[in-house]
Amino acid sequence: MNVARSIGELPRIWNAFWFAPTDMSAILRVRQSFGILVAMQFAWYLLWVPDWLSRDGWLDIDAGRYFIGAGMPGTGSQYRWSILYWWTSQSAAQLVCLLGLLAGGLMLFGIGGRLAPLGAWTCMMMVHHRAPWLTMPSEVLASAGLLYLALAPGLMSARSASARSASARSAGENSSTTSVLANVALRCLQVHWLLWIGWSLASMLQQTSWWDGTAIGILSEQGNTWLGKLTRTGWTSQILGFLTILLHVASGFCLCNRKLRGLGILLTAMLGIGYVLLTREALLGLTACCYAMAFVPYNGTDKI
Amino acid sequence: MASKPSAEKHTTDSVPHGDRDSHGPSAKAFPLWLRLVFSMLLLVHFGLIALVYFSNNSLHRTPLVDEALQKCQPYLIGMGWYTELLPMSMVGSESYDKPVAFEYRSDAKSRIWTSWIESESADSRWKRLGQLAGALAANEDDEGLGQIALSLVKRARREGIEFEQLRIVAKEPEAQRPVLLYQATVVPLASGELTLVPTIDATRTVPVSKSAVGGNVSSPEANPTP
Repeated sequence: MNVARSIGELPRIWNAFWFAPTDMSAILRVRQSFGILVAMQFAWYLLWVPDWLSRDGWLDIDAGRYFIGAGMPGTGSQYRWSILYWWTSQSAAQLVCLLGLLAGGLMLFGIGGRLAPLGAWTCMMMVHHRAPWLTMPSEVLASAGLLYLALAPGLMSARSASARSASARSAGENSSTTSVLANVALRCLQVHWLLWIGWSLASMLQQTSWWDGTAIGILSEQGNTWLGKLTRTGWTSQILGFLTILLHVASGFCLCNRKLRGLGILLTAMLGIGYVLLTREALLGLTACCYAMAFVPYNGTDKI
Repeated sequence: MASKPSAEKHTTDSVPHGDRDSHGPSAKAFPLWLRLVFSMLLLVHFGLIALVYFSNNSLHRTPLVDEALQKCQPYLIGMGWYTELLPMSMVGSESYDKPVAFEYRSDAKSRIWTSWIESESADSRWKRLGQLAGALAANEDDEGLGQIALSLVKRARREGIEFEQLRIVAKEPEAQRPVLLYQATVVPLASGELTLVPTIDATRTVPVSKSAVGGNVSSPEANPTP
């Protein structure tokens, strides 16, 4: 009977989870966080993309086409669209980076509505498709987040949204700054992050290297960590490996539990710091924090 | 029968024109048909994401998963969801996830290799390239290694660095000698283009020094194990 009732509740829960309108200020906060991330990402791109991915770059067009499997059936290379395959000058690469940087700035200031995240995503895809195997995990997550953010409508700024909402409430009207699509965007960010955590955890659990410290040792040998050289099976490596797994488990569990969500957000931020310490990728750490913003509580109808 | 909660009653009210975002009157719930469409799209989308992420890491993929990923390539690859080409885990396979160095010698008859770029001390792009080189070597993909090497050679020439041979070595953490992944001789063609001819050097001891372009001077190293 309880099982049947629970199954019967699923449509209502699904409906409330995905399609209840939410206040726009929540998605605007996330959008501004991603704006910072995108601006930093494209500032970083400006330093290497023209140097690497132009026709005279470290990885020229021929190498780029080879590694996407151009001409080989089944590789899907025909779906890798990038202007950088045809417009191969350094100035073209610089222009793509500058446009991405501009889009990031627009997102940060809440200008441009859907066009800003879509523009940033397009520029990011140009770089990604030109050299997919140079893409870092932060870029995979960032591009996904940008597409989700493009679902939500934009407002001029969070301040105007709050002001409009406050004045509407004081006038006794329903808030005019709620949106179902904003909620869909937030939920997409949340679900995607939880999938990422789940995948990372599955990946780590199936490799013994994370249990016996070898993984941490390998990262330190590659010069990736801020922790100096660590022996592969030393106590420090083992403890750090175990803590990394534990942090993934704890943050995922807490984020899924409404009562522990605040703790989950904190643990996700700590996970971001962990990424920076283990991989020296500041952008990956920042991406984790951006996704954590999607879980921050916000005014609106009761959420799952 | 108990009356429906007010929240549920609110969400079942619908406006014929669906969601009005931000600039119109207060947002209303999606009509049922739109919710169904969105629900299907969300299920398919996140199902594919889960498939991509988890199959990226698995040792074996079922033919069904392969076929699903193949058929959805326009969406997965075109929209940037596909990660098969990416070493997504923080730590990849130990067989190829080693520090890699690119070395050259100006004269093929010389005994001295000059260390040019070392992934260990370089930025993340060089580390990625090192991972790729290691993976290509593990899969005995000499053509792929040749593509990387040729691209580097061309770029080096533009920067005024000319050499006759290039090699890519991986550094084993507990081994005294680096492992040779690829070695080739640069051959200029009549058209002015360059090509690479892979070679295998005889095992012997030769000193290595770091180039002035690359950075600090290092101690001599033995010839790497082929």
